[in-house]
Amino acid sequence: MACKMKVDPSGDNDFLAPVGTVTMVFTADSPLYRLTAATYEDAPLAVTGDSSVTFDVKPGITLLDVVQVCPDTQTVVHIAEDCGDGTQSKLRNRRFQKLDGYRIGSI
Amino acid sequence: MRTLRIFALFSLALLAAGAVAQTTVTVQDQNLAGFTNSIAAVLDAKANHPEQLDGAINDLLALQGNQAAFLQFAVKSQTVQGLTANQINLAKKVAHDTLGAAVEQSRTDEQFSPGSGFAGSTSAVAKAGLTSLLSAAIESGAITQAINGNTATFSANADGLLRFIADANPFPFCDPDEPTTVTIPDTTKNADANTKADAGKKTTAAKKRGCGTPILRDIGITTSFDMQQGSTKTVATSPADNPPGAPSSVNILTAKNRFSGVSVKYVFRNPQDIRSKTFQDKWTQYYSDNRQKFQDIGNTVLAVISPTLGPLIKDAEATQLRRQFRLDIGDSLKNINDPNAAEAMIEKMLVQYLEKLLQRGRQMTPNFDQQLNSAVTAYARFLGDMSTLVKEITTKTVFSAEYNFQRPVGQPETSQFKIMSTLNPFGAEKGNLSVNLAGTFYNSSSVSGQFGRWRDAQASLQLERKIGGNMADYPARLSLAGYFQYMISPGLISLDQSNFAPGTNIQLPQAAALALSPTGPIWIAEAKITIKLKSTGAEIPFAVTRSNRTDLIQATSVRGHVGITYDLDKLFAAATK
Repeated sequence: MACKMKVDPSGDNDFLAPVGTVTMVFTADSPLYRLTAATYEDAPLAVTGDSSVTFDVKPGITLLDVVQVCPDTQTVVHIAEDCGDGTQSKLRNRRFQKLDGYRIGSI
Repeated sequence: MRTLRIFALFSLALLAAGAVAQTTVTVQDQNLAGFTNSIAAVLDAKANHPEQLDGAINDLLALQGNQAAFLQFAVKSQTVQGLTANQINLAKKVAHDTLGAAVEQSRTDEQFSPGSGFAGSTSAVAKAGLTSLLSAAIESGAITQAINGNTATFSANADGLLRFIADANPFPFCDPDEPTTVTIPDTTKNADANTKADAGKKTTAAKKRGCGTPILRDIGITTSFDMQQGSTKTVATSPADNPPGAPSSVNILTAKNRFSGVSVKYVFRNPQDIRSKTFQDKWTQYYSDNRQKFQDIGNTVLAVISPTLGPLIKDAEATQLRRQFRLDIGDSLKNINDPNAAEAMIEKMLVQYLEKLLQRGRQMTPNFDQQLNSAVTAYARFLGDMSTLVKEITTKTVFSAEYNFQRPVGQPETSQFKIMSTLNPFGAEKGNLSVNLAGTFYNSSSVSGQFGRWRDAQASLQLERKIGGNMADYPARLSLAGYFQYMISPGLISLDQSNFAPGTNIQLPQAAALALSPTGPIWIAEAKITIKLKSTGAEIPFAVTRSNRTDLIQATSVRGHVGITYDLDKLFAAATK
């Protein structure tokens, strides 16, 4: 199964993805990092393994919000898509913030 | 050898160039404090990575990645919200009160009472923490002193007090982990050196944390006053053990309205090494044990913030606004070479952009300001809850050092140096352990010349735990303490010129000290229950102590102590409403 998400070259959105199910993986340089909670379009998502969320991308511009925790607050968060075949597609890095969000546009 | 010297000098010069060629970014507009890292990233990109400049500007303006910073800006910006001053202050108060509920209410490391050497103390053992702004205590009793007294004690946090006097918010609403100053390299001065500096910067960018003034926020000042009318009390002195010349009974001045002492405390925090393997293992276990708590806190804040900011983040007009400012900032930066001027320009344009975003939010949602206030409140609670959980494991121990100037009634003045620590060996929810070590010496050279400089040495231990309730909301705390003091010099009383020399009818030519009790150990056991009056900040401590002797009287003593303490943070928060 191929990965579907990509970075929006226009910069208006963080990511572009076709409508359908995606799994996003959040890791960090620090092993202390944990993805704690997430909502997609205001609906809470189940966090798996303290690092990933799966949701159905809806049409239009949508919002994924996350809460994350890490005692090492200088860490960098790596966002990737789980391609479902054992591989991951790196999307982007972000400076760690307890509360963060990603704008996702459907394609 | 000469080659080695030249190499060393060259290395030093290179290091110096690298150290000099750095720019420190400190946001001038404190409403933009949450954007410090993003502004620094733009300046860093301009200086070192021009190909990343447009992306950095876009990230600075992307609301979804700066939601907390946007809330911080919104709550502090009085000009843009269109709210009245009262509404703004109410919002700030709500934010503070929720922080207070989550953090202040859960604190048990603050010391409100005077030290054990004061008349009118209920605490055999001092805690290592400081009040956030001001606290007051009125207490009756005595721990080591021979006569019970009533003492009023006022404690202040230096930073909180100065902020309050300067009409600034004494409880800054900010994320304690967010820096307000970031150091970035400046390639316009030395490209090679800055490449090295940049590499180091990636892990150590933050130079200053956002909440409170460094050093000042860790200094506490306490003053105490005796509250009794002057009188004397006749007490027996157990003549068998007394030093030669001591009378079998003595009239001791109990107290009168007077300044009885001052202390200055500095708190050293001792964070755990979060990069150590030990900490990583501990954190993994801790997070696993508390995963549900973390998730609940996260879901609670998202349930409020996502619906509030989501529509604005996704709005087409807001997106168009972002595109426009992205271009404008990029164009403006092309013509500015001075980093300070660039920073000023970015801040100015960012404020304009955020104001327009707030205006757009109000156009889209009629009660946008009320929603923002709810989001600010939720975020403040989130920060408090999250900080409490994380600090439980990241802060190993709090150490304090304290100097006490003591004026005990009817005794020579003393100075005391004390180190203390309050730790949570059983987890913050279960209670804390406080340890004190102290030494006291006489200030007067005439007294020390006669009896020796050192008066006593002390060691004490207290275990305290909450009774019932949860971390922040509980009805009472129970503590058990053991206190040991060794009287290196005899217990002394001061006699002024109106007294007669002991055993004579000869009036003293000048004030003098009289040894009243022998050197030796004082053992004290204390049991105390502190009733917490809901979330008012008021507490009532009841304590019972048993000691083998006091500092002046060689006889066992069982005494009761009572007081009322008040954490004045809430009073002042209400006053700003």
